[in-house]
Amino acid sequence: MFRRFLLNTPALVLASILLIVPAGLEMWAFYPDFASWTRILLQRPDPRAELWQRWANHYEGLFGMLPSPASVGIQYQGERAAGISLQKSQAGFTASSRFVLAQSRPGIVFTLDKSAREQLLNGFESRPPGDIWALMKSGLYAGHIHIWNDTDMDRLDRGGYLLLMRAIDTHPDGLDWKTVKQKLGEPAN
Amino acid sequence: MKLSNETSRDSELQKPTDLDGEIYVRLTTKPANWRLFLLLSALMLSVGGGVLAAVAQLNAVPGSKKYAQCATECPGMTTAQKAAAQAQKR
Repeated sequence: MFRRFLLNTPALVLASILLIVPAGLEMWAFYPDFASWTRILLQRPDPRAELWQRWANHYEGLFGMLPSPASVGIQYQGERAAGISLQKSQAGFTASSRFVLAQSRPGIVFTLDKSAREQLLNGFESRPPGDIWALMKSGLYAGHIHIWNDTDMDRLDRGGYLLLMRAIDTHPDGLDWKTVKQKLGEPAN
Repeated sequence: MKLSNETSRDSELQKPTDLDGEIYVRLTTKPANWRLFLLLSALMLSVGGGVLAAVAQLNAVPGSKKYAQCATECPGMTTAQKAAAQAQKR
């Protein structure tokens, strides 16, 4: 039966197409994750993590309100599971590429499209660190940067993530400014 | 008489049947290796890709996170909306 099927060229071609098309669609939909996983497997040390580590240490003021230890994630647009974990400690930031970013329990995750990455990374070491606020805000306003936050609001508050979000002019979904200010201990209008 | 019967039976046995034909085809026609290779490759791509995609989707960060809203200067906001949002923020 199977041998007969193998000898039946139209049936074989049709079956192969039916198998290859979904595989192609999966590859297309999950390409950023697959590419990151391949990079993590093949490239050691990981140049992408090294670059973001230098970036985070250059712009450490951006994360100044976060206590140590703290965890922030960076994902490239399209990545679902993979990403870069920035861990803040007394000695500064260390970055590592992760197969599953969620395992590092980041308080917030910056999701950056290509334009945002170019804006943030191109020649960053020659730019004054104070420029980061304007860069982050313009990226957010233009929709090039998206932020995902932990749904545990107490953790966001205690971990300084809420303050960081406030500083770059954003707040968690479902939490208005009034509540944010109350949580941060700021006076109401 | 006996000889004639035997001859008749022999000739019956030697007569090709459909089964003989199938055995003949099975013994002499092997599917080319490329066919098997094509099918196995497609199967591996499909199954492997599906498993990896499921792993990526199940471990996706957005699965446990919520999207933070742009607050005051969002694209599409009118000037009045921006001013109102700024006032609320202050």
